[in-house]
Amino acid sequence: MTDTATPVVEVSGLTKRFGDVVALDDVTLTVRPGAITGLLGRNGAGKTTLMQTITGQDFANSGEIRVFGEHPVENAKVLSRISFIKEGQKYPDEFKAKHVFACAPWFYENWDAEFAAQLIDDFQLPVNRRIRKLSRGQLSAVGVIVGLASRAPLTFFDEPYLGLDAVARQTFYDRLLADYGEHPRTIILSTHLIDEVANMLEHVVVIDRGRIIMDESADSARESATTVVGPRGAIDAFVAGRRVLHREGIGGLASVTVERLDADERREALAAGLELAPVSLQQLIVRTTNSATTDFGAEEPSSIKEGTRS
Amino acid sequence: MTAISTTAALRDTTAVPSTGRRIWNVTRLHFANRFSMIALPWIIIGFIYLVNLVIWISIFASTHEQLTGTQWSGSTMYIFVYFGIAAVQAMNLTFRFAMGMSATRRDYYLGTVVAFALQGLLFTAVCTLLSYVEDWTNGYGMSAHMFSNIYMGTGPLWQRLFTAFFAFMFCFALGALAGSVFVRWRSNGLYLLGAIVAVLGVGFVAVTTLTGSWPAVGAWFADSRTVGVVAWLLIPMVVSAVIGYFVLRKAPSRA
Amino acid sequence: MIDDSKPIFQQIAEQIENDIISGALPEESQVPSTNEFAAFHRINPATAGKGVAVLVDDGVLYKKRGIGMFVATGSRERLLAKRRESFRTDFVAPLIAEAKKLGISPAQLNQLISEEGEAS
Repeated sequence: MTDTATPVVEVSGLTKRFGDVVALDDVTLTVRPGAITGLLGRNGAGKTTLMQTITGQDFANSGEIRVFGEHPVENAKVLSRISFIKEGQKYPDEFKAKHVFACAPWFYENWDAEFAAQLIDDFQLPVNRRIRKLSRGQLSAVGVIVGLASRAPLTFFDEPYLGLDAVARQTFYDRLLADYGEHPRTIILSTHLIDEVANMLEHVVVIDRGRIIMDESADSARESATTVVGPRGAIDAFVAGRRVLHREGIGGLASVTVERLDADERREALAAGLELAPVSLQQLIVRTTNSATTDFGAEEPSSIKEGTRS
Repeated sequence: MTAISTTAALRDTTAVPSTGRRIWNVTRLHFANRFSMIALPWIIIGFIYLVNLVIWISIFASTHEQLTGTQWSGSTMYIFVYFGIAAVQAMNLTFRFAMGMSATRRDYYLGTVVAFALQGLLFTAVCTLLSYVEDWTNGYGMSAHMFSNIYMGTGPLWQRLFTAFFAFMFCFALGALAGSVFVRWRSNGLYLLGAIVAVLGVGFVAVTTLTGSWPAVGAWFADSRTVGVVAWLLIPMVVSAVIGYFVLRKAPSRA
Repeated sequence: MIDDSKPIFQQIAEQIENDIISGALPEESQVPSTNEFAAFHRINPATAGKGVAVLVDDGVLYKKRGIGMFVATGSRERLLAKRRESFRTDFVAPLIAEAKKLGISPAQLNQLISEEGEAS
C-alpha cells in the first residue's frame, strides 16, 4: 500500500540535452514508494531519457536526482535495488535466454527462480534458443520476465512489452498485478498504450516534449475533465468562459471536453439538457498533450465535419 | 479514510552485496557463455598447433633432419592479437548487458579486468607447461618449438611465467582501453585512438631516425631480452588500463 | 464492468454493496480479498483496497485479523436505507427531467408509474 513517507525518487530541475535537442527540460518530480506509477507520453517525449538519468545509465546536464535518498550514479547501494527493463536491451552475442536467467540472480538479490520458471512457461519462451534468434515477442518476454522475477524494490518497465501480442501483454499485466499484490514495490511503467494500463495505475505522470504536464493520482486525473455532449447552441452557452480541452462536432451535435466540473456544474449541465460522459485516461492525455503542443485557441486539433464555425 | 494494508506490507529488506561479490558477478558474467570466452581461444590455439604439427611432421618425414629455427616461431603471437580483439569484443557485448543488470561501471570494469586476468593466468599456465613438454621431448623429437619459442618459452620458470602472463595482460589492457573507447565513442573513437597510436609510433620512429638512435634501440632490445621488454611494458599496460577506466566512467548506456 | 464513469474504487465499493443487497454476499460471509478483486477486474490492488476501505469506514465490512474481510451484520438494512435516500436524486430527479424534456406532465408521469407498477 502506498506509504506517504520518503519518496523513493526525487528529481528537481533535471535537464538533459542531446546536441540541440532538449530531451528533458527542467523536470521536477517525486515518485511515491510502493505505487504503480504510469509514465505516459508520446514517442520521443522524454520518457526513456528520464528513466535513463534516474537509473544512472545516462548523465544529466543539470539538476538533482535522488533515489532512495542518494545520488544514483555509480552508486551500488542504490543500483542494486533497481531493475530497469527497456526495449532494445542488448544481450551478449551467443547468449541464450537461459544464460540471461542464470546471470540475473547474481545481480538481483530478491530474484525468485520459481516465479521466473512459471513466467517462462506462461510466455512459452524457448530458453535454449540464442537471443539473436528470438522473435520480437520472445525478446520482449525475456525482459519482462527479468523485470518481474527480480522483485527489485524499484522496477522500471520502459515499454518492454511492445513486441508482445495482445494475449502476452495481458499475461504480463495479470502477472504484474498479482505479484505486486503479494510483493508490493515501486513500479514505474512507461507506455503509450494508455488504455490498456489505465486501470492498473495508481499515479499518473505525463511528459510532453521534455516537460512534465501532469503529475497526479489516476483518480484525480480522471476527474479532471468531463465530456459534455449536446446541441451546438446549448453547448456553446455552457462552455463559454470555461477551458476547453477538445472540441468535436457533427451536424447539430457538439461534443466538448472541459475541465473538472463540480457537482453543481454537473447539475447545471444536465438541467440544460446536456449529456455528461466520462473521459478515459487515454483521451484525457491525448487531448491535454495536443493542447500543450498547439496554440490554445488556434485551429482545433480535430474538428470533424463542423458545420458553421462556432 | 483509514488506510488498509494489503496482504503484504511494503518491505525493502534488500541487502547490498559486498564490493568483492559485485565484481565477481561481472567476472562470472563474462564466462557465463562458456563457449566464446573459454572454448574458442583454445580451439584457435589448438588449430594453430595442429597446423604447425602437420608442417613439422611433413618436413621431418621428408628430410629426416632435426628442424631448425622453429624457436623463432611467432605462431603463439596470434593468440595475443586474438586476446586484444576479444577484449574489445567482450566489453562491447557485455557492457550494456551489465548496465542493464544495474551494475556500476566501476564494478564492471574491475570485474572485466579480473576476467581477463583469469584468462591470462590460465593461458600462462598451459603455455608454460607445454613449453616444458616441448623441452622434455626435445621438440617432439624433431626440435620443433612452438610454445618453447625464444620469446617466452625459454629460461627459468619464473621468467616464462612472468613473460607470458604480462604479455597477455598487456594485450588485454590495450584491449580494455580500446573497448572502453569503443563503448563510449564507437567507431569514431577507435579510429581516433588508432590515429593517436599511429602518430605516437610514427613520432617515435621519426625521432629515433633523426637522432640516429636505431642501434641504441636495437641494443636495448637485445640486452633486455623479452623479459626486460615485457617488464617495461608494465607501465603502458597500467596506463592503458587506468585511462580505459576513466573513459568508461562517463560512458552512457543507451539502447 | 469497470468503466471510466467514476473513480474505480467507488465502483468496487458499489459492486460489493450491490452483492450485499442482492444477497449474493450474505451477512457474516467472507468477501474476496483485495488481490482477488484486483486480479478479477484487472485493476491496481491499492485501488481495490481503497474501495474496501470505504466500506470498512462505513461499517459495511469488518476485518478479522489473519483471515480477511467479512460482511457486517445489519449492513444490508443500512445499505437499503442509504439507497432509498439517494433514490430520489439518482433516479427520480433524472426521471422528472427526462419526462419534462419529452413534454410528459407530472400527472401523466404519475399514471405511467402506477400502470408500470401494477404490470410488473
